[in-house]
Amino acid sequence: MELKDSEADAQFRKELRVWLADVVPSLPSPPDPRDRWASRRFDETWQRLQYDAGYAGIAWPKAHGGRGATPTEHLIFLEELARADAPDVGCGFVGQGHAGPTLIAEGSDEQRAEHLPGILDGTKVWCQGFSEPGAGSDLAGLRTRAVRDGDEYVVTGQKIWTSFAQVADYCELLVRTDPDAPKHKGITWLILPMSSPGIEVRELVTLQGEAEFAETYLDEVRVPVANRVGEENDGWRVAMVTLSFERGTAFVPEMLESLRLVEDLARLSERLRRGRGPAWEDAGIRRELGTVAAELDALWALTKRNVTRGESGTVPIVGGSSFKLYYADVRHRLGDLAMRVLDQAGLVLEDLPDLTVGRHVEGSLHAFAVSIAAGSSQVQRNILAERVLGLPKER
Amino acid sequence: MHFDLDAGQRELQSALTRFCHDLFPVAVARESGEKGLDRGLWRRLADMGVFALALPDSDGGAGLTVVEQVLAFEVLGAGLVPGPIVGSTLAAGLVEGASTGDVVVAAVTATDGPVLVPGLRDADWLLVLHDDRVELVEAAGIHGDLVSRPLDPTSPLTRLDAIPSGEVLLLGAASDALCRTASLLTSAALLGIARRTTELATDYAKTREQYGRTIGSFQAIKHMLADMLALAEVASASVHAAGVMLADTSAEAERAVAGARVLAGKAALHNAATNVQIHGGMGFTWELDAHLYLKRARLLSVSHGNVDAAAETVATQLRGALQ
Repeated sequence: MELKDSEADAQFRKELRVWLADVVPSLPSPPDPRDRWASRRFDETWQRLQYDAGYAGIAWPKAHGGRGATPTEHLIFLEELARADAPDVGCGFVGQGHAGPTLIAEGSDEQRAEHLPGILDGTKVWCQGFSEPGAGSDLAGLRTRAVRDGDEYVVTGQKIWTSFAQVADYCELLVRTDPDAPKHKGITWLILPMSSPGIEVRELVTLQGEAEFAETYLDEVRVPVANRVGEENDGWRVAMVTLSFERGTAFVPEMLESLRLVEDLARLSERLRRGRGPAWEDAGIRRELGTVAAELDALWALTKRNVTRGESGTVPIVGGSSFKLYYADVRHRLGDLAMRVLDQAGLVLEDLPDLTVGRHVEGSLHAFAVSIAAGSSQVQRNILAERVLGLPKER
Repeated sequence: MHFDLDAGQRELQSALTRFCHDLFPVAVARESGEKGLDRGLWRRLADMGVFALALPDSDGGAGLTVVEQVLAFEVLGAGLVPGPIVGSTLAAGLVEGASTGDVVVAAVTATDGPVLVPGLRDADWLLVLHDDRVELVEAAGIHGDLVSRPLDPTSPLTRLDAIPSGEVLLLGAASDALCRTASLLTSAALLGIARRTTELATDYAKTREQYGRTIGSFQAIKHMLADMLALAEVASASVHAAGVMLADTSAEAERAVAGARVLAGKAALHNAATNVQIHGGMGFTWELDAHLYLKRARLLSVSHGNVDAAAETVATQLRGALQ
C-alpha cells in the first residue's frame, strides 16, 4: 500500500505544474455563466490550450488522439488542475467524458474520424439526450420514438436535463426503436446534429436560479441511419458503456472543490461572529468543520483506492457507489454547516462587501444535484444492497 | 501510487481471520471477560506474530510497518479478540516478554475524570500514555477496584483513584509516535467492528423471514445495510491511508490519524447499533452477540482518543494548514 508518486508520476506531475503555472494566469477572466455563448468560447479557449500542450483527451487512448494517461496520471491531472485553480471542463463535459469515449468504444471508424477531433480541440460541443420527464432513475423507461423511414430515423419526443443543449453542436440521443420489446431491448443510440429541423430547446431554471439545464423537444426530427452507434435496439448496452465512464473520476474535480470550500469556511468562521465570539470559537461548529474535513480526506483516499483498483481492470462497484452515496451526504452536511457559520450572511446568493459567501450558499443548494444526479442516493443504496451485498432484487 | 492491499497484506488478513475464527470464537471473549484471560491462547496470539509485526527481524519481529499492524487490528477488532492487544503491541520491543506473549501489557491514555483501565486485571504491566511522555508501571503495585458491571462484559475494567506514575520510557517524538499508533490501532479495531457488523446484519437479513419474505427484500432494511457498507468502505480508506501516512512519517499524519478516528468511530458505533436494530427482539438479548459488538465499539471509541477530540484535532490542523 503506497500513496506516494512513482518516479514517473512525480515527473508527470512536475511537468504539469510547470505548464499550469504558466498558462492559468494567462487565461482571460471567465465570463458571466449566464452568457452561454461567451462561456462556450471561454471553454473552447481553455480546451485548445490543453490540446496544444498534449493534455486533451487525457484518459483517451493514443490511437484515438488522446494522451493515453494511466488512471493514476488522470487523477494527478485532475488534482493539479484543482490545485492551480484552473477552469473546469465546462461545456466540453459531455463530449470528453461521455460521447467521445462511447464513440471510441462502440462507434464506426467514420464516426470516430468525423467527431473525435472536434471534441479534442474543443471546437465541437455535445449535450446528452438520455433522461426524459417520465424516465429519470428508470432511464430504460424512455419513450422518445424513432421510426425508420428509408435511410433515416424520424424522432419525436422530449428530453430533459440536456445541459449545454443551447450551445451544443451534437446530442448523444437515446431513442425507442422497438416499443414492443422488453424496455431494455428496444433502445437505440443516435448522434443527433443540433442544427436539424424540428428541435426546440427551452431553458430550464434550476433551484439555484440558473438556466444550467434545458428541455429539448423533438418533433419529427430526421436523423440519418448512418448516425446510429452500435446496432438498432442495442442502445441500452451502448449507453451502459457511456454510464460506466460517469462513475469513475467524474466527481473528483468537485470533491477537490469541496475540500477548498471547507477550508474557506474555516477561514470565514474566524471572521464571522456567532454569539459572543467568532464562529470558530463555537466547539460545535469547529467539530463539524473537522468532521467534514476528515470525511472529505477519507473520500479522497477512497478515490485513490478506486483508481488503483481500476488500473487492474476491476470495476469497483462498492467503491464507486459508496463514494457517490457518502459524498452526497457530506455535501449536504457541508452546506448545512456553511449556513450555520454564515448565519444571516447566508441569506444572499451573491457576495457581500468584504465577504465571499456566494459560493457557500450556492454550494448548499448544489448538494441536491449531487444526491439526485448520476444515480440518486436511493438508487446507489439499491445498487450496494443488491449488487454488492447480494440482497433480493426489488423486482 | 498503489493504494490497495498487496498480496502479502491480503494473505496476512486472511490467515489472521482463519486464526481468529478457529481460536477466538466470540465465546472465548465472553469467557475471558468472566474468568480471566487465557494465557495459553494469548501466547498463541503472540506466536501468530501479532504483537511483533513491526519489530525488526533481529528482534524476532516480522520487520513490517504500522500499515500491517493496522490490517491485523482490523481483523482482531472484527473478531472481538479479548485482552489488551493494543497495549501489548505498543509494548513489544519496550517491555521484555511482551512480543512473545510471556507478559501481558495493558495501556491507558491519561485523561481527566474517572480512571478506568481496561485489561489491567489480566496484565503484568501498564503503559500510561501522557501528552508528552510514556510511562511504565508494574501492575502488581497498582491498587484499584475491579468494576463489577463493566459496559463491555468481554473487557474487564479496573477503577483507579488516580493515574499511577512509573518509569518514563519515552519522551518527545518517540512518545508522540506511540500515542498516534495507539489511537490508530484502536481505530483499526473499530473499523473491523464496522465491517463485521455489516456482514452479520446482512447474513441475518437474508435468512430472517417476516410477512412471508426475507426482511432483506424490504427497502427499509436494504438501505440501512447499504449505509453500513458505505460507512465501512469509506472508513477503511481513511484508516488505511492514515497507516500509510504514519509509516511514511508524513507531515499530514496527525490529521490523518485523527480523521481515521472520526470515520472509524462513527462507522463502528452506527453499524454496531444498526446490527442490533436489524436483529430485532433477538438483538436485544444477552445470548445473541450483537450487543457485544456495540459495547466493544463504545469502549474502543473512547480509548486512546475519542471522536469529538479527533474532530477538534482535524479542525485545528485544517486551520494550521491555512496559515
